[in-house]
Amino acid sequence: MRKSTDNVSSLPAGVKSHAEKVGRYGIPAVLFVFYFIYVLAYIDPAMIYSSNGFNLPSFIRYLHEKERNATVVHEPSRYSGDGYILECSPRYFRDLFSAPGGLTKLIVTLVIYSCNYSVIGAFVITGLAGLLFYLFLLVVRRDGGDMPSIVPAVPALVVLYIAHLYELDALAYVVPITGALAFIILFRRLSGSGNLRQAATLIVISWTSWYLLQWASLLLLAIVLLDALFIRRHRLPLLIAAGCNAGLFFLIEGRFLVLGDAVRAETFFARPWPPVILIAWFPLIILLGHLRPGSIFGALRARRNAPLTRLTTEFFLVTLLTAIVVTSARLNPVLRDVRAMARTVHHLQNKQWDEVLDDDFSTQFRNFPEKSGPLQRYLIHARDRCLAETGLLGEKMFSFPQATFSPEPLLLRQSLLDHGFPLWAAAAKLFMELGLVNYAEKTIGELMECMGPYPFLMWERSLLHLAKNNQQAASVYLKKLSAMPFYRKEARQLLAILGDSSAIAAHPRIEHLRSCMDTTDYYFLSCNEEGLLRHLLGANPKNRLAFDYLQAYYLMTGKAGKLIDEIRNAPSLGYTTLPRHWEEGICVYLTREDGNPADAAEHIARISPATFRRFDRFMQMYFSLEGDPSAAKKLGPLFGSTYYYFYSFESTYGEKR
Amino acid sequence: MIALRAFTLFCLALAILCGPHTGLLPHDARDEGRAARISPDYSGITLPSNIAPLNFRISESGDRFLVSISSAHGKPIIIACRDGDIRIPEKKWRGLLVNNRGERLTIDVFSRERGKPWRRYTPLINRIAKEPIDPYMTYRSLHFLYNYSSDLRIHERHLESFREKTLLSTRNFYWGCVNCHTPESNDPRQTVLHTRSNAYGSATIIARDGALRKINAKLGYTAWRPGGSHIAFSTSRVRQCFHSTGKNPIDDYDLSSELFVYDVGKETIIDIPELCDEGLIQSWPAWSPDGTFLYFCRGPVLWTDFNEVPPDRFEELKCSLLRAQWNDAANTIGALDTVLSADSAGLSITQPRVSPDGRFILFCMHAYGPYPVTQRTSDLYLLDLETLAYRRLDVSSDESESWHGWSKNGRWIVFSSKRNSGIFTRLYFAHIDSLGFTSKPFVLPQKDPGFYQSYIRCFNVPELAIAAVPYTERKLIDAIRSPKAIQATIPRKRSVPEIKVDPSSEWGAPPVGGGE
Repeated sequence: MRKSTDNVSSLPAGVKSHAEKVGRYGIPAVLFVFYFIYVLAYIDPAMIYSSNGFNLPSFIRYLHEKERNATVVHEPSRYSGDGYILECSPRYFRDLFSAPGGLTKLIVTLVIYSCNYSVIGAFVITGLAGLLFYLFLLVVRRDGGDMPSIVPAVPALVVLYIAHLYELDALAYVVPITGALAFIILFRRLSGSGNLRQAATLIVISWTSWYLLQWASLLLLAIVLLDALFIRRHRLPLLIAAGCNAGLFFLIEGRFLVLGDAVRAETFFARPWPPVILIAWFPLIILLGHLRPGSIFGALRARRNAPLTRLTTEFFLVTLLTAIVVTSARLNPVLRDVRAMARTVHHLQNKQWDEVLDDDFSTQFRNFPEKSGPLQRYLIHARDRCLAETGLLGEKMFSFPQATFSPEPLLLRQSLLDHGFPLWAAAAKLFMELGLVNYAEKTIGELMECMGPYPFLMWERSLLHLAKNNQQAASVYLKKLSAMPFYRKEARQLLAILGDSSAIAAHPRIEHLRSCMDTTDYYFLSCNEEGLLRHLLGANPKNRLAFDYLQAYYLMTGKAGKLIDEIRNAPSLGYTTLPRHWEEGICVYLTREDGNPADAAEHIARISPATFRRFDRFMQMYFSLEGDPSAAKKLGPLFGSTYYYFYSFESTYGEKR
Repeated sequence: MIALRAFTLFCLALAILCGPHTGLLPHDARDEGRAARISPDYSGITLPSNIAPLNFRISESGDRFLVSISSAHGKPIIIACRDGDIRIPEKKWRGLLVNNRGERLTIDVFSRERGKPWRRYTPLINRIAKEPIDPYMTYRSLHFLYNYSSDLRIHERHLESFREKTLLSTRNFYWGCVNCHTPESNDPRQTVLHTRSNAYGSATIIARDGALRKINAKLGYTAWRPGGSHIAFSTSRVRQCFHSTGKNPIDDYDLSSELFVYDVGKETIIDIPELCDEGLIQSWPAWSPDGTFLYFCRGPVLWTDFNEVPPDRFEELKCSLLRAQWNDAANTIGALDTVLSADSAGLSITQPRVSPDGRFILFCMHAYGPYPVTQRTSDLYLLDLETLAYRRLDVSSDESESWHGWSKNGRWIVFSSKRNSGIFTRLYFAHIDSLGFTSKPFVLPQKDPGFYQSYIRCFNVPELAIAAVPYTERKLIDAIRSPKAIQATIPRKRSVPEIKVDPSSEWGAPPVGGGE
């Protein structure tokens, strides 16, 4: 050690200080610039905001678990969020701060809401990680001298890993840790040297931190205890104060406060590992720093030969660790699926239809249709919805993976019995667009009960009530929304015209809902997809979305005869030519034993010659490959995006466009 | 100019605080010739002398508002504000009401727009009843629910103030469900409460003699026998179906339901064959105040296919009101007696509650089924047990009324109503006199005058209580989480098939291609 120290001291002072500066500021700067760019470009915080409340990681984890073990029981509570919803009202703040930990909840909520704007969200997430990095540096530097950047980088990178979950609930652990570090620094500044003053300061600070950040106070006490054990000379009063405080916390939390299941120890340890690492990391490092005489980090630094080598090593270690975190997050199958779902949730919410169609889901459909589940069902539904919204459902739906003769992904009706909030939300949105007003209301009601009263749900509910002329119910939701960020303006605009029925009727969403909503009363759970869509077309024959979905339903279920029957209504809905899949459906119908050419006679002339030629070619090749088990694979590249390929092989040709 | 305004306002405030109050009111105000619109509607009501201040919001235009609340004795309360939110000082309010029992309570409202003269509205006249209401009330708060429930809470409200505490939140036992909390004769020291949770199972908590006992049986809708020796309960298999149109899409029905009696002392469930007929839905038990009669509702099971959703003819089910004499020595019931038949009433009768003096039964009647809460047609009715005459109470509205209860002195009723929106259930009180005539109902007062305008949860199952619940949430949660439970088996429990799932629409189902 002496030798290496000598080596360091033998370097010119300028080189040494320059290398130190680069080590102290340069490496963190590089790390956090990369951090910011990565969060902004790859994760995109806007998607975190859109996924708020959906509990995507829990749901995807459950799906993966179910793949391994089909008997996994479905527990709704596992997917219920903690409700990070922001409201600017006195009642909200009173409720928030009337229980310990209110500040934590507020900060996490603010971070999530900042993500509504990608750049701000990336800045805030990076800033939080940077703050954690810096505060830890301050805490440890005081005791252990300088330490390699890799040490404080660990928690910052855990935060980066958390961002890959597309939900920031785990920040409920990060924020108290950050707060605890800040309170430790405050304690050290204020405590002075007198025993009594130290004990008093500790009591005030630990109770303040408990009320604001709840269990952060325990981390604070743990670090103070370490301090007292290893540094301070007159440590007995401090030890007694810390011990008594910890005991009191346990007594209050354990005996008097109601511990929600979410904060109980067993629930905590059943959570993903990042928060556990985070919490354990700080006392561990401080303990390591204290265990050696002087500083373990100082010793580590001193062993290296020269500042430049040390700098290179530190940079290499930080880069390596960053690469490990990023790579492991990107390769993690759960996080990969979470990302696919989060992106789709975001695009659907923002009506970015083309983005969904252009997204690459080849990983999710790798073994499709053998491997299929709610995730695939959701992605198919999303794509079908995007195609329908862009008027291409009859044209391109078989260019994308489709379920094997199951209409389920179209309306996701059975999925509503399953707990997958993105599926429910997607179904509810579609029901609204189709005009299934009460079905949408029921689905949104279930979502609101299980997820929490998220503003986007209340907004839809208020529109549904307005469409049904229930202005009093709508006004309750709108009043609530008028105090919620991002919905205030629209809610206040609607509240202002609430008494004016003509102005309400002119609102585009309400006008749409009223024009297409059901008019006949029936029990919608006793009706299949066809029945629902037919009811809608009965109420409004011009409901093109319902018509497109009905035709898609007939294609999906192989009911080409009914498809042909409905084609005669197509011109009144603006169709001048037949979409390709309908043409292919007619071709299939004509070749079927029960197909009656007379039924399709009026449409045959409208089928494009290209479709006929392609179908002929397919049929020739199909018969030539009869009995060949690889026929589907051979015909896929040529005909994989056609309805007759799907009809013949009971599946589409994978993730091809 | 600003200084002048500030000085005027200061003088006004000083005068309100110190001066002879009525002299402050603008006597030269222009008379509007109509009553002011206020929300909630606290006009023309009879209120108990021990109720919390009826804070309200004035829904009139203006930038200055003045309200004078006065009665025969004592100083009037004068409140000035700019936003129209009238928050009545609790101490003054209490004094005014206590000193004026049986008198009129007058609310004078004035408003003024900038640069215009004061406007005076026709005074709102209320009456202060001589009889107080029970000081506490427990109730359940929840969102408007469909199939799933995850965030249910039971609260206790001190009716004489705005103090409220949460007795139980399902978020603290894995988002379970908490059902009707029934005190014995308005005394919360003896309470029964049913809970369901994925983690802790289906159980009933009985609070009695200062202890909480957990029974591992589902005691559905419960009724304490006065004295606390028995609890009658139903075991309903409730299902929902949903309408494609209409304000409220939900319809509830019971696939089956039986009645049993739990012997609290012996900790056993008594099997009463007469109340377990397979062809009948039997629910909503209630005891007479002397414990001699057990009242309940009964209707025929009209379907054979329990898988059908909804079952055939469920909209024809109408329940009648029956009673049977309770034989205490043998733990049996005597002959069944129809108090009011659905045939004669033409409606379905549910949720009977006998008045503390035993003279009246307050109940719901609605078009069909055993659940009034989802029936817009549900109204409150009162049956005089002396004459067996019944009538619809004026407190009823166009929307559903249900979950009613009596005060200990029998002079107040509380009920939940969906009036105004058809969605958000709120709690209402009404005075009821010895002849069974009710006053105009008023909604549970809240500290924030605009509370109900943006409150998205619903209230139901109100139970008035003479004292505060002596158990903390922590104790209740510990009891629910406790593995220690009294084993009680429900005899003759019928199994009803689960809801059928159409296999053809399941994911990955066999292809149906080629079929039409």
